[in-house]
Amino acid sequence: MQTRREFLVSSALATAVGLPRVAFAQSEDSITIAIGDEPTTSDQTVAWTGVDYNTIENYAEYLFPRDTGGEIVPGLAAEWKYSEDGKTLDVTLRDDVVFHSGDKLTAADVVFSYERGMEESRTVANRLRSFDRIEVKDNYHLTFHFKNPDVTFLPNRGAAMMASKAYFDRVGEEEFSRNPVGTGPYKFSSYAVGEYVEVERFDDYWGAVPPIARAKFVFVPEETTRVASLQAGETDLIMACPYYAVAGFDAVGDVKTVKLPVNHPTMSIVFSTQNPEDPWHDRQVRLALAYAVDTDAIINGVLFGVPQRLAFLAPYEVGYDPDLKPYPYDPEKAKALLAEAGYPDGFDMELNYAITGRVQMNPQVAEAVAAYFEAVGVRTKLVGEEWEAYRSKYNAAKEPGSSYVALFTHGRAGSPDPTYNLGLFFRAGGPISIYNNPELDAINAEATATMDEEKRGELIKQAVRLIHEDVPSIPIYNNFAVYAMKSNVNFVPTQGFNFDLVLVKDMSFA
Amino acid sequence: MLRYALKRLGVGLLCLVGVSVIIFVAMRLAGDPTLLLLPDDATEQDRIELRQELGLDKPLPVQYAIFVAGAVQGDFGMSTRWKMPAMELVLARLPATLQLAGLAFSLAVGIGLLSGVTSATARGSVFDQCVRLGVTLGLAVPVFWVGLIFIMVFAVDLGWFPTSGRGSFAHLILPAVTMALNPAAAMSRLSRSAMLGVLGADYIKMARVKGNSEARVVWKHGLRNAAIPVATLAGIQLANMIGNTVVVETIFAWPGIGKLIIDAIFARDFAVVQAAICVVAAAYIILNLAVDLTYGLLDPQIRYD
Repeated sequence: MQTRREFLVSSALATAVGLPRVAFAQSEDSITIAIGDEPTTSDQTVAWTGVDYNTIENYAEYLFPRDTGGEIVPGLAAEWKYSEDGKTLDVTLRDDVVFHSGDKLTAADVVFSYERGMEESRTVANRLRSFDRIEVKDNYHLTFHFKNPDVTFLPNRGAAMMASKAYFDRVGEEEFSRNPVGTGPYKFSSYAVGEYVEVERFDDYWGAVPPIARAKFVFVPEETTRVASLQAGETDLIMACPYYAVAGFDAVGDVKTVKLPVNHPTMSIVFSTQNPEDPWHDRQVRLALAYAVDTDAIINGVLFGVPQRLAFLAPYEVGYDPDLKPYPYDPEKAKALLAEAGYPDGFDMELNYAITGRVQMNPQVAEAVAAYFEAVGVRTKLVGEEWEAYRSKYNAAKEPGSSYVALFTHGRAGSPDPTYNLGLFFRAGGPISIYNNPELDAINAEATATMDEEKRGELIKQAVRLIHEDVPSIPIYNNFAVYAMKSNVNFVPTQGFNFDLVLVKDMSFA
Repeated sequence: MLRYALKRLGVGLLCLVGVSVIIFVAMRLAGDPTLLLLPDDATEQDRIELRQELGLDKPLPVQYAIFVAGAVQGDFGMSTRWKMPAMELVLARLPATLQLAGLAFSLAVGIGLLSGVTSATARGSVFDQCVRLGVTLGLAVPVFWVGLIFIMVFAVDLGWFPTSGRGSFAHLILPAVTMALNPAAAMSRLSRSAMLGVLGADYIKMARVKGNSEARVVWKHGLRNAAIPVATLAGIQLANMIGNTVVVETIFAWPGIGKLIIDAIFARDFAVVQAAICVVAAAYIILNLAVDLTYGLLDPQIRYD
């Protein structure tokens, strides 16, 4: 059975041959990129939500950048060193960095950027919970002080993007926000509300000057239109290419796709486990439901084979356990476990899911999961709601005694450090947690305060094992970011953790 | 007539107050914006602080009084999602919406009137049947489907127009035609039936007997008498095009007010929703008044006393 979009795409691909068509002229040194949504701000110090970073990270930078392989490498910060107890971090800045306004980057700009970021952006403030203050030694040497060791500070690239204090003092806040200047390889050049942002190459960039001179980010919210704009040749590269279009593109050849396993969120079935009245209060029932779902079939049949499934963490993460395997698909065992737990005839259950939001194909995945639950005798009622309403219900499930099961954008793999998601999604009272396991919390607290990667890795392994045994959630699939581009475009995406980045510096024309 | 217009404007103002109350309360019933504004890992304390910062901890009537006090001075508050004044955001997008609505409306009225009136004069002909089929299709096909098909055929396959975005006149064609389809069909159907009612009347026979040309009989004597319901429908449709454009704007990435309203609703961005709805409601009120005033021009028997 074809969906509406598959039909449209396949029919368009089929008719694309043989008809006279007008090609839109493209310049060699400029690139047009379609992104889904408009950034909510141009000001790097105010940026707070996923869509903001697509454009901004091209003209503004963190102190500790990641290379395309995901490693933290020297950048604005040339060198850094943690103290023994992990509570202070000495940083040496490069002395040859200039902002697009011509001002030099010094320690004063760093202090200003952190202060303004914590004041104006809730995301920055949250990332810097353990941050205490910055001690300036001279223009290029400073020390970060932390209230307690924070293993997520470097993985978050230092949490705040750099802005120029001198520029702010000279032009005032309004101009500073409307015409932002950063230290990036591109400078902000123009913005049309609801239409596009343009950036152009900055010739005095401290690092390697990138090959492409100009880039235009156009906002195209409808994914089918994004795909069409690439097919029509108006755009060179699109972000968030829908999974359904990938197979078609890979078959045709004049468009190629690049897939990046960002791994967050892990779409999962989550349970509130604090109500003894619920059948799923019993671990055996949750395990039975985990055995009941053929996740590989869902990935291949519903999600066009694009995303992947991990047992918990991705291989590149601290504490990855190659011996931990995902729950197998075994409906017979599921039925046996249910009978053993006292539900030979199954039970009734509501499965909540979101019908809007950033995750594609939520309703289809929820329907497929429900069908697998039905197959082992669990009568599943689907409850789909708009994101905010759905999220309110999830929050209410934190209360002890609540009764709740949902398909949820859960955090397992793909966070700045595994301890981060463990604290967020699995710690009792954690901001997005509906789970309660004191043993796990103790291990994770210890891991969070352990700067030594090897020791932390062992603790994380233990924590992950505990969760896997207790089945508070069933992972269905890990998210993939898909970029589609003309075959003459080369692009290596960088994982920014929690979201994917589209950095023009890593693009070129063949 | 001036007195009538002023009186209607007064009623319109009351209407605007009513709309603002409804949208104000409805948005606050729809949910807590702090869930969407804070990062995933925010604590309950963060939420409480943000509610205070946004004034959402105050009683509803107090919140409304604060809103009205600002609104009468043109200050509709700050957008929580986009970091700028709400009304500035809305007004920045209004020109795009007006441009699209303007062309779509002209197309709808032009095509609708022409086809409706012509098919009424040739009732039962092949042309009439084609128009009636077209009207049924135009009313039945969903806008999102037509929009996507247009993009696939005219932008991707033939390359005649760009797929999406704003810029040149060519960018305007596909979204405007998509948007015009449905209202053109409604307009065609209504003008056809209104004309059929009129064309059998004695004064039409009289006009013919007096030796007027058929075109003059139809387009002057006939249409003028059939025009009142058509003008009413046109007014409603133009207002609809300003407030109800989210599907076309989303599909064609058109930077108008409809997409902004939907994004703001999903983000529970109260200030933007309130500002945008007030603008749309004001457009409705003004257009309705304009339609009522044209009645007098169309039919001299109507007086505004």
